[in-house]
Amino acid sequence: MTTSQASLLQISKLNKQYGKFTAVREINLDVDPHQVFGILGPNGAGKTTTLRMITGLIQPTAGTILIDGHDLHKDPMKAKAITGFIPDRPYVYDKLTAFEYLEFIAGLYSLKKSKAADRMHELLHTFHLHEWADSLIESFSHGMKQRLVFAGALLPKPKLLVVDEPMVGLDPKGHKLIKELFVKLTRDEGMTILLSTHTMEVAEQVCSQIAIVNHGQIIAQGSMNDLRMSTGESEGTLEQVFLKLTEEQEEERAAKVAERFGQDPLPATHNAE
Amino acid sequence: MLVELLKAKIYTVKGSLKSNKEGRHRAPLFLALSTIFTIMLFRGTLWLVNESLAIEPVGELIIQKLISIAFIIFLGLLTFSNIVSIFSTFYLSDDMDFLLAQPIPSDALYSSRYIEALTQSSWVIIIFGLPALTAVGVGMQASPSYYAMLVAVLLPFVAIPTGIASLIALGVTNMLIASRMRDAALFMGLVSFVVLFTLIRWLQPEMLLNPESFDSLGEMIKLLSTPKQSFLPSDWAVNTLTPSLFTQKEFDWWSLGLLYSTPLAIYFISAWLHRRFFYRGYSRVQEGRHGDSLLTTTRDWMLKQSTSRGGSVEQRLKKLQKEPQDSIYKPLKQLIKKDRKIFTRDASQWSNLLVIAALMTIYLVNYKYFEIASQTNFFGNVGLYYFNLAVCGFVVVALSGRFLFPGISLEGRSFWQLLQAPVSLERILIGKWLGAIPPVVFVGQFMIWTSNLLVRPDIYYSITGSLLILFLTFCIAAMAVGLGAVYPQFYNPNASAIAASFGALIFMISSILVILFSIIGSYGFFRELFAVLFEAHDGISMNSWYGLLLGLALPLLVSYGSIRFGARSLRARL
Repeated sequence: MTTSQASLLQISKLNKQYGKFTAVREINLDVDPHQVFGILGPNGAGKTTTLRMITGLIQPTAGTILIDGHDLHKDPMKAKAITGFIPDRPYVYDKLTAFEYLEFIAGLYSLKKSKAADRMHELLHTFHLHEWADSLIESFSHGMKQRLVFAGALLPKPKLLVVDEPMVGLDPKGHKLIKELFVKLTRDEGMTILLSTHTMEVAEQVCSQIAIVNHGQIIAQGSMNDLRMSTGESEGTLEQVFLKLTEEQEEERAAKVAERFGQDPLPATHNAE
Repeated sequence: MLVELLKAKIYTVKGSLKSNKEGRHRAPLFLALSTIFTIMLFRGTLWLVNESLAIEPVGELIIQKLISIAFIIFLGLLTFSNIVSIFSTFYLSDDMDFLLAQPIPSDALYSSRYIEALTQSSWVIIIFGLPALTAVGVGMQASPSYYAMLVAVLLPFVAIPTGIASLIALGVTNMLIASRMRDAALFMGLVSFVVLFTLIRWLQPEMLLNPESFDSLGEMIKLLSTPKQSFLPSDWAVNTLTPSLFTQKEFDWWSLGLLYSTPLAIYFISAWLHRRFFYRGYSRVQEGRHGDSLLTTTRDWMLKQSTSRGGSVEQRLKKLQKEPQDSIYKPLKQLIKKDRKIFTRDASQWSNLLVIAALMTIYLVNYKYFEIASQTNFFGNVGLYYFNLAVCGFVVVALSGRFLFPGISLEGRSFWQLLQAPVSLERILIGKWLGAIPPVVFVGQFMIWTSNLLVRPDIYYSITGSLLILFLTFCIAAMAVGLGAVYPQFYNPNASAIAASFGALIFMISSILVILFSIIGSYGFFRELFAVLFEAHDGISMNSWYGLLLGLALPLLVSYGSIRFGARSLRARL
């Protein structure tokens, strides 16, 4: 479906609560098509929870998620059909071969056999898995499994690719491959990529827009330059900007808690991821 | 330290009961089902006791023999479930790596795992054994000392198999190669089944139903007399329990002594051996598959044949590229294919097939013997036919519990793949249902046809029995998949342990109730149908038609509801 609105992904007032604990609070986000959008944040900030809600793995407590105009809650099949997901840990079916795994993914997305075959051929070569196509996944290293999950997620040519910590477990060669791939996918295939990462270098090199999340909220959003300007770190790296923003927020929160309870607050320890 | 280790487990159980994800439907559903089941078990046993007492002059001896059979069955079941539990708790548990890295004394670790395995595998027996044995006391109008003795007997009785299983597991993990561990566990289970079968055949339970088949009263009394001394814990339990049931008997202190000293001795011996050999066995279990044994070579060859069917990858891709434009990969077909491949490549599932073969043989051989009982008041011809239907139904329940119930749980950490795909949860569950049902249908049909033809080569009986079992197989399988989704254990990789879990028990009880309801509901219809066919009876009454309708409608509704409920429950967990 082609929508009239510019954003491929629109999130409004997204909330996730686990009992009394709020993991994600009132997140609003618009992601334009054909770009790599990075979500950064410290551990437990709510990045993974947000990504898992966007891919339909977790149900939000409140809020709406529109993917290319399809409401994930009301029309999940259509929204999921154009979304690919790569989790931080590549749990796949160990007793299948790489080829069988890709055929299985093709089945889940009801792909045409001839087109799926072309795509499988291309992806097996791109991710250097063609020699291992008939080997059981249980014999694969972590990096090979991660590359296979990439291949599986890209097989249906999703419009939106959601990636959680793409560099976990990959060697430097894998890092390079993935960074180049992200650029190629947005440029040549018109894909939109939403990725969460801890690796500032990756975010700095491939993301055109960045949102910084802390305590379940977006505390800053924009291009690298926008973020630098907002923190006054005009020459700073993303790491410096990130640390400044998150530390400022910690101080702000601490002050608020102290004001409310009249004592020194303890640091927040909840982990949403 | 032991207390701390046990506390951690208790907190986990408490947490899971409190958790919205885990415990929402558990307590009330389990309470309702187990109450119904307990009442049925109590009433059924009470009826059996009263019927037995009416058989003069050996009524009391028959009851004593029935108690013996019950304890032998308990012993067999306990041994089987303990072997599965010991492997899960001692060797395959996720938290073991963490615990072994801590400064925990080996005796404390052993004891905590021993208690965990004991609880996991024994509470079912206590829940089911107590109502039946209480009914015996009520039927016999036993004194209060019987009930006190019952508790005193069951506690050490359930501890013995746990100790033995821990020793077996220790031996297996230290002696066999690592990749064979689960196969070995199931092989041991199979052995315990065979032993149980031999013991039951030795006791000849069918003779109890037909006292006329004995040549003399003396022969009958000889068979029914329980040996005073035996090496089996089940006999010690019976010898300890029966004096409080039959007032003329003297109390057997020797059996009581054995019953208490044996589990204690095994516990200490096993703890001592675990100090020395546990870590070695545990390390071997963590090793990957290796070696070039005949089995491994055969398995690799079979794998190669199955993965490279249709030529090389390039050849297969070229073939696919030539497929017509409208030819698509179908989700349901791929879901079924995936489950089949995973099932056939998992060696622990193969071993389970052996257990099924043993179960089928045990039943069929016993069924041939049960023919003797068909001339008695207990059964009769139609009674035997329905007894057979019920047992075949229970086998279908056991199979579905073992192979279909763990289906969703075994998706494990790969479940994200299905959740984020554009396939509804209902469709995923239907895929699981259709994918795993053929072997259950095959076994159900094989059992009903073989058993019917063994004793009653009448085509009408066989066809109606076969149709009813086919219908029930589809319903029970759907219940297994649906309830497996209501009580998933995504972090438990052991299918046998999942099949013995709390949720599986709920599935077992509810599906047995459904089968009994269906069989009782359709009883009138089939009785009248056979009368029309064989005795030129006028016709079938409206009440019988209604009964049949109800007997078929309930399983259909329950199975449909289970799939919907399973999908809804999974959705709610997200």
